[in-house]
Amino acid sequence: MFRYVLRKLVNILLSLFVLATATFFLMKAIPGDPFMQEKNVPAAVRENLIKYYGFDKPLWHQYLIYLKNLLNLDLGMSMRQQYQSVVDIITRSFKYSLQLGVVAIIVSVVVGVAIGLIAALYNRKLIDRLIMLAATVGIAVPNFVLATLGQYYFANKLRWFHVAGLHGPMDYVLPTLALSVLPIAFIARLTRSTMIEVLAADYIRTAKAKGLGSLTILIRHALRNGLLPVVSYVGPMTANIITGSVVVESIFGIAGLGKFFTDSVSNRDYTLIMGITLFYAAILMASRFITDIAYAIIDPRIKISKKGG
Amino acid sequence: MKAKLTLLLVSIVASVAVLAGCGNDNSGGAGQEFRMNLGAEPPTLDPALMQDQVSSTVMSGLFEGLTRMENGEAVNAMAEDIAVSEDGLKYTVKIRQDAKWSNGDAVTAHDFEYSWKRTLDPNLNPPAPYAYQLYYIKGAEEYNTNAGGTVDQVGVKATDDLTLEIELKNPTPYFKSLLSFYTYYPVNKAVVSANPAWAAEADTYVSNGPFKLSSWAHSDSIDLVPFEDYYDRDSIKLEKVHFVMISDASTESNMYETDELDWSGKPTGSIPVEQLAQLIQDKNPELVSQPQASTYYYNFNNSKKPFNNAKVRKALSMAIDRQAIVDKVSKGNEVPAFAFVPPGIHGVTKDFRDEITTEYFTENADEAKKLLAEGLAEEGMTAMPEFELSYNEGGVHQPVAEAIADMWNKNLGITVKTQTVEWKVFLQNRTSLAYDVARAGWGADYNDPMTYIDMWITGGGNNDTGFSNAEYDALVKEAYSTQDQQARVDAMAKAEQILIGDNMAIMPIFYSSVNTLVKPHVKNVGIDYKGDIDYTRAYIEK
Amino acid sequence: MQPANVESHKGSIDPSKFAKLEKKSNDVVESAPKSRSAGQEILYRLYTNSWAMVSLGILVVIVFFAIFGPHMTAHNYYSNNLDAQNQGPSGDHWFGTDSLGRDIWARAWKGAQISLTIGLVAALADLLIGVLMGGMMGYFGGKVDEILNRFSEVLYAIPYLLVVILVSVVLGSNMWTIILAMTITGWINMSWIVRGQIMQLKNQEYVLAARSMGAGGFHIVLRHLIPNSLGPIIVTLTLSVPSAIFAEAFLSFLGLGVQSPAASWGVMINDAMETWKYYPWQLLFPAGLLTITMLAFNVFGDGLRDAFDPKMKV
Repeated sequence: MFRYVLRKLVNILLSLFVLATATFFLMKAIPGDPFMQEKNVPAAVRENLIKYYGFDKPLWHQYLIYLKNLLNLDLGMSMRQQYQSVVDIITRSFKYSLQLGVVAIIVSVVVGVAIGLIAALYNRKLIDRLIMLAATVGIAVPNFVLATLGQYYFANKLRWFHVAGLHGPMDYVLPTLALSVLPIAFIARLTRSTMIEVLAADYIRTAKAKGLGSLTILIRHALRNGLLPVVSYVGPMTANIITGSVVVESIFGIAGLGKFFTDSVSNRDYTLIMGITLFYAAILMASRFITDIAYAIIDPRIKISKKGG
Repeated sequence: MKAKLTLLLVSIVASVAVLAGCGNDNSGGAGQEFRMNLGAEPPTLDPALMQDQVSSTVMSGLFEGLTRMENGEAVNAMAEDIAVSEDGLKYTVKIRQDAKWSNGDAVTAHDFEYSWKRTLDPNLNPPAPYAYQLYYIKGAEEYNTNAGGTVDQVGVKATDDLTLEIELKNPTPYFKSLLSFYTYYPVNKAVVSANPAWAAEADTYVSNGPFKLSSWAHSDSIDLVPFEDYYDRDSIKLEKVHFVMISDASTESNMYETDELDWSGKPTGSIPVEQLAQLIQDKNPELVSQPQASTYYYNFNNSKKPFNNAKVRKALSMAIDRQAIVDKVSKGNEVPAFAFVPPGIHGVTKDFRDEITTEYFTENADEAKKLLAEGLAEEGMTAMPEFELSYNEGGVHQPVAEAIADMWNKNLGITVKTQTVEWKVFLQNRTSLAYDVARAGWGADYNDPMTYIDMWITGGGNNDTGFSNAEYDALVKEAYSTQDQQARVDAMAKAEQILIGDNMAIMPIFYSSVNTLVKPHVKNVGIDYKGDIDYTRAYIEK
Repeated sequence: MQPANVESHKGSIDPSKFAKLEKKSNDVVESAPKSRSAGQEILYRLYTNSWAMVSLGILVVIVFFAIFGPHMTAHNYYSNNLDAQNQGPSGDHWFGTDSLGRDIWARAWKGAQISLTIGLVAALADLLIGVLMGGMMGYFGGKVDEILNRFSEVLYAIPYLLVVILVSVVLGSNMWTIILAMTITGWINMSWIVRGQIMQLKNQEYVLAARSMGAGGFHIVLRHLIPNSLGPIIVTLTLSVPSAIFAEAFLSFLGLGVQSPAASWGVMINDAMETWKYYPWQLLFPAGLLTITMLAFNVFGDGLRDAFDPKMKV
């Protein structure tokens, strides 16, 4: 197991290196630079800036410099936010995204699995149809519509919540809803779909015949086998949600990572783009690694550390 | 059994849904507090590195230059007296004795000299993008651009603690108002030279204006409180200025409506387009609207066929209905534009636009059709090729482009493709003349027609149309060389005639306006000709 | 990180695809014996599922209007009429007009053409690539899994905005570049879900049995593993169509979506977020049509899956 983890870690580092390389050349390939504005600065001033940031050097040279800094764990300074280091910006904004994200993930998984289960238990009954109807609407209505409407009615008209900001526990309600409606709907559908199959499977019937209680069957046998697709989805979803959603952060005025990431691209803030990309990728890869381990725990027949097939 | 299970699951769902407690306090601004939206985190609060309106909105409370603008006039601020030489080239400034920094130091002439030279330093860390705002000073450009100038040759010198001598390159009638501009702010020499990143956080920040920086929660909010040793402390009534950073217009609008903001809209916020139209229609008393010296126009690519032909450009410009665009599309109290210099810019004694009333062109669809045919014939073409009208995402750009494309289609029978382009790609395309027709906008840097005229000289840094006219260049030079305001205005009016009347190098569409929602209890907030806000003398009256 | 509403899982519900899979799913080892031919059996089960039939009817109606709707009214979808802005639904403008006075009926059905094409094609591409890659990762495991896994993760983590901007600059904006930009990363979620399913299924008795009888890898994947993963695949697909539709609207801000005056549902809904407070029909019609279409797709998709799998008859 230790060797397995070590090998995975090396692979992840290798992938991060590939990603850094690809992103570096990709962002240099697209038009624009950090200094372009509606009003152009004079050519000579521009030259000063280009020289200062080393953009006058050949691309491979810039790349080597970037790699060298990366090996020294130096992500550099933001080119847009003066005197702010990339690490500071990520730390600061990740804090907001993480706080909100964790709440949203818990809500999504718990509610999604629960209503998915109810729907599966009442397969094709009215309650199942209603839940699936709601879930489809939840998937078809995008989060920016939900967030905007929710903010207008609940914060502006009814004044139940603050319009924006994350300053108290109540401030989490609307952004959490906006973030979790789609995952809830999706997880509910996924759970229902696999649970229906699992509940009809022979071993569940056998367990029932043996006289085991419903709850025991549900938790010990059915959920175990039925949750695998949910686990596959939750891995990358976790990475996406805790690193922030630009829509929800813009609408609810949250200084999270998602908005910084989008802004960094439109500002061509190269150092920040790279920093957030690598940070996100590390979280993504870690969460998928944990997903793989979760597979093995849920279903011991799945062997992750040995060659399969 | 199923029922029991369901009950269990339902209660889990319910308990998660209920989440935390309840209750919500929408505390209005307590006492003398003014709250507005910056729309975004200011990229910097260091005078040397500033180049945007978000930063300058915060900085106008924190810093003060030698002069400050009051009702459109430059009045002495850090300066006690400004003496100008006969030829308009030499300024001798006496600094007021009671001027203080927020750390207790006295503001000296050395701070100004240090600040300006620091901004001009080509090796500043990082270099200052707006350094060229100081190019009026003799030797400044040569030093900043490494063109053989040294720091000692820059025409600014502190002869003693309270005397600053400034030498200009050309006589500049509006230099006193330039002295209020943020690139001309001083910085505390001792603090800044000891800590280059002094402007990164609130606790190392030192300023000289009516307010000081009490907190800066990055990307979230900024708070200013009055600076007790400010020389004009008695005029400062606000006890707190609270800035939030909300990028979404409907969020800002909701915050204003729930009394979480006292001010919404320009300069740094925004009112949703349709909501603004409703407010104007309803004559909402909280809506304040005034002209802004800013022109919204389309660039023609003067270097590309058939847009290289003046008749084609004129035809396009004459074939749209500007009144319909401002009334029914942009819907924000804009004014149709038939020239380039907007109202609000000084001429000789009055507004430039009131003095120069020449009609450069009139809208006329039939005439336009004829001109287009003539122009195309001159270029050896039989029909107008399908072309692209590009704009970036945001504001009213898309509806305006769609409306204009439709007008061109109906009035000239031509096909126009409207295309959204990603912001920096758009800028790159515009600068490298890789477009047919592109949206553009220009706001004043200072209150003189020159800020609109000198950008179109051959090879000018912001001339992204390919327009080049020797006579035009000569007129700009002529206006630069004299102090005589009448002669300057005449030369610039002639230049505008060449730019619009003769060549239609660009297509003016409308002059913008500043629309803001202001709570009735907010008094004495000023908006200047270019739409910048002055909240320093504001107060709350409930 | 996926920007804006592109927290996406793309794919499509394409009946023909399932028709192919359906034949293969018969020899999945299972309890229910059959009398009629498999194809007839499935059609019969589908036909007797009234929910599925109603959904199919709705889809047919929507496709009908998407094709003929824009021509049913005297107004076209692109002409401005600044004297008839923001009008409510009326005998002249059945769905009202937008802020430039364009007819929303014509625009909504024109939008249906565009959005449904993009949604379905992008989703189909994601389905094919996703199932293939996921199948390979899950079945072969080991090195193949490791390499494809890393590859998909790197691709998933590359800033999507940069990819979109590059595609728009290099290839320009048309229907195919839009779909290309969506497919580059769109298949990944599907592949991860399929991978997880197959990792679980491949150790089950019937697969081991098939293998011991000498069945080849692709045979096992195609005939046993993927048919038994249909549930999660279909659910993932149901998410794919709307997310492709909204991704298109998001891409249009970056210069890669459908450009005005053409409309798509995503863009219409986006634009309506400016005006819905005053002119709610501008949001209601495109959003309502989209939701109804998605509901019909989902119910029909469920019906299809039930029809394939007789185990479902609990």
